[in-house]
Amino acid sequence: MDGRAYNQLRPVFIDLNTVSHASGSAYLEMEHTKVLVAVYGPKARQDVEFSDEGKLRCDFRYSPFALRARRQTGKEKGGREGGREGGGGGGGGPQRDEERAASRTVSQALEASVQLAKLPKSVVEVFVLVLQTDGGEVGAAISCASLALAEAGIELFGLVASCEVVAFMPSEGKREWRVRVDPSAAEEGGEEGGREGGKEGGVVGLALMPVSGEVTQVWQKGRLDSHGIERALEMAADGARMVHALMRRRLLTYMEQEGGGEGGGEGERRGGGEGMER
Amino acid sequence: MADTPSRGAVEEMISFYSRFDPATYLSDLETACRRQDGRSNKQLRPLKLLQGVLQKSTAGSSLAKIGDTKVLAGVSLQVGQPGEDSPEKGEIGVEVNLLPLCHPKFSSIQAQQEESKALENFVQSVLLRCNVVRREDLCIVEGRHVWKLNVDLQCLSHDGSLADACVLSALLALADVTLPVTIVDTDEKVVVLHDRPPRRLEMARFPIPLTIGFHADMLLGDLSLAEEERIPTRLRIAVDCETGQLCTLQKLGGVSMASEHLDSAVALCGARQKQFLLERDLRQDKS
Amino acid sequence: MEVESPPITPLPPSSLSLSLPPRPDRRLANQLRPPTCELGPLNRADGSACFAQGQTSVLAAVYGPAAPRFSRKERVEGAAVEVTVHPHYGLATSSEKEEEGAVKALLEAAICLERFPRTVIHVICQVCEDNGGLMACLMNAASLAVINAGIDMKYVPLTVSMALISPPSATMKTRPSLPPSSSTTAPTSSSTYLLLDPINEEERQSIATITMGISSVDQNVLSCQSMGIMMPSQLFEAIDVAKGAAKALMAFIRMTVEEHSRHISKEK
Repeated sequence: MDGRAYNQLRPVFIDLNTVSHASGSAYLEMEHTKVLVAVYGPKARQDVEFSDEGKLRCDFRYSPFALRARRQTGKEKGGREGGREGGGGGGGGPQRDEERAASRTVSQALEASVQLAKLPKSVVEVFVLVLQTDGGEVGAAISCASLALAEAGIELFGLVASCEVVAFMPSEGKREWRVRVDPSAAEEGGEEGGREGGKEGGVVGLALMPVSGEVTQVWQKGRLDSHGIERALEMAADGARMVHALMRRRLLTYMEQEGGGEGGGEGERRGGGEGMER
Repeated sequence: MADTPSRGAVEEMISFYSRFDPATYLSDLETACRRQDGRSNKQLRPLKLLQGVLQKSTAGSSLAKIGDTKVLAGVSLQVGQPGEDSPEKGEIGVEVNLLPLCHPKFSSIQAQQEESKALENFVQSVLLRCNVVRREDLCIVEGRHVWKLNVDLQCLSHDGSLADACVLSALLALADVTLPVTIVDTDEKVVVLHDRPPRRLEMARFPIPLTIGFHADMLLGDLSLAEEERIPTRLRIAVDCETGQLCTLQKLGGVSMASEHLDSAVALCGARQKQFLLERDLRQDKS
Repeated sequence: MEVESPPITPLPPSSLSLSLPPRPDRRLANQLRPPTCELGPLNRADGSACFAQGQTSVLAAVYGPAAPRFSRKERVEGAAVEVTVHPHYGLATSSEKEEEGAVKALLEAAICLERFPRTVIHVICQVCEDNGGLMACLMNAASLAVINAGIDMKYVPLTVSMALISPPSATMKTRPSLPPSSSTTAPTSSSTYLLLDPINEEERQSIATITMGISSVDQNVLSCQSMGIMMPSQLFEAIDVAKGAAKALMAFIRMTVEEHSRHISKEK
């Protein structure tokens, strides 16, 4: 819809070490979808006496701006986002249903990548804040959180990259699936309203650890047949590999800059500013 | 490279030291006249202000960075009824969000509420008592419909002087707001005309805030979080960016201060004022 | 046992205050409402005080220093102060949170905390009536209750409230139901004047309000909360006014406490 090719990602911007008091933090922007992740820990686990393995605790939140915007689009789409608990965007307080569900998705996607056996009796806390959403915030959160874990110096098996795709049938009659990588909120409905009005189609998200080729998480909403899912997963894996390449490159340049002395950190922060400006 | 301790390790050592022996830490501060982050007493951290960062979801937005303290502000518009005692005035509400993401001390909801409520109250008082915008400008139909501006402040990273960052980002977000043209239809409902160019909200005043610490007859400008925790005497001052009039002065607790110290504290705000004007000019040059 | 204040002699009026319009309660611009105070009205609390200025009154109770109920609040270096403010009516809002923070900061500075390590001093304030100058009244009531509890303090914080009013010609002509139009014009020293201990009506008409705490020992500024537009010089004018009022307030508090201790020794 915005002139991209079907297999083209939105422009990605990544910044590292943005939260001063966190062990590690990352900021990821896919055009209008903006996600900030801070990692704290590893620190002592309070909930159990002893555990052989470490634990990953994930807290996923929408900022009040993101929530307000989501509510508005929800109304426009005939209450697709209905059933949300009322109240303003009070960031504090208990999580909303959808935030809790997203927390689970993110933590499951990351758990497999962290060497938890090396962190006995500890917990690593991952805080995700969605600043603005234009589709694909869960996938963005996973990639961003993986970067933040890496920046925190927590031992990983590999970076987890994630990508969401939308699958839909463009024409009536012919059962032929088309898949678009990294859809914005407007595109999530499929092209020309392909998914709306009870037609088949859906959004599929995939989290992949490209180093080992393991898929760590898959989620889906909407109706797809097995053929459609197959096509969607294929495209999502390709997308995740592209995201992974970007993440890897950013992390390497960051490491070089940090190694090059104190000046590096300042440069990063300035970079972050320009990212927000775009 | 391997021999020199990393920046994090040095910070850790200082925080260790300051916690175990706060008296020596503070007296070192007196003798060395050098602060933990290498600034001189009156030196402020760099200020960076960005406008329009969340164009997709807000009517006006901004990001304020004071050193490593970052606050994101977004304004949303709502049509509402005016209060009974001010039928021609719109309303401004402020909400502050502090999550454990920005600092681990906000891990409990109680801790979040305690600080966020106090900040909300402070920012709202500054916006309303100092007439930052003419609230008459927010009127649609007198006594019936007015604009209500909800200013949401989201702290992204907390490293001291949080109230300053909150005030600055709220101001910049308000300055970024455009009000759409509206008509009132026959059902007494307000209809927004999307095809007309919206009008920018005019700012009447910019109160520029600064947090100042006072220790052993010394004034420290723009406290970092570590300093806020150790120095009990703190001032929060805001002066008008054009006229230099005093907008607010808050001093809670700590040691007593003589008038001449207060006077030089107010004068210190000129530094932040300069920073702000410079930042604004830079932005205007760009656009 | 309640102590009525002696008539507080108004401070020598400055030349400015003579030409001002009369205040609703016929006080001079730099005259406090006569304070009243009752020490120890609550017998279950470790210390209590009821302090009132005109139609603004606050009942404060102190519990402690006592062992903390939650170990989280414990401090090794000294006592922890906790303040709760109950509003006149309704539930506590964010403005009560701000008042709590202000009273807490004031008491933390005034009380010799290091004498009571690992304890909690809990101060509860109930607003009984509010007709202006609430913050000052809360602070005075809280510190009187601390005195009554026999907790050591480095000094007595004396808090007064003030309001900066723009010229009557501009405010009086507007409809009385409306607060003065939010004038964006710059107030100048000559066109505005300062009122000590304003009532609600005067606070509403003011362009700025100031609550200032003065130390009884060195007469310097302990706490200051100003909100609204003013010239820096007006703040220093306010400090001088507050110092004068604090002297009167201190005389009253000294008399109250002496009277109270005489009363107690007689009972024994």
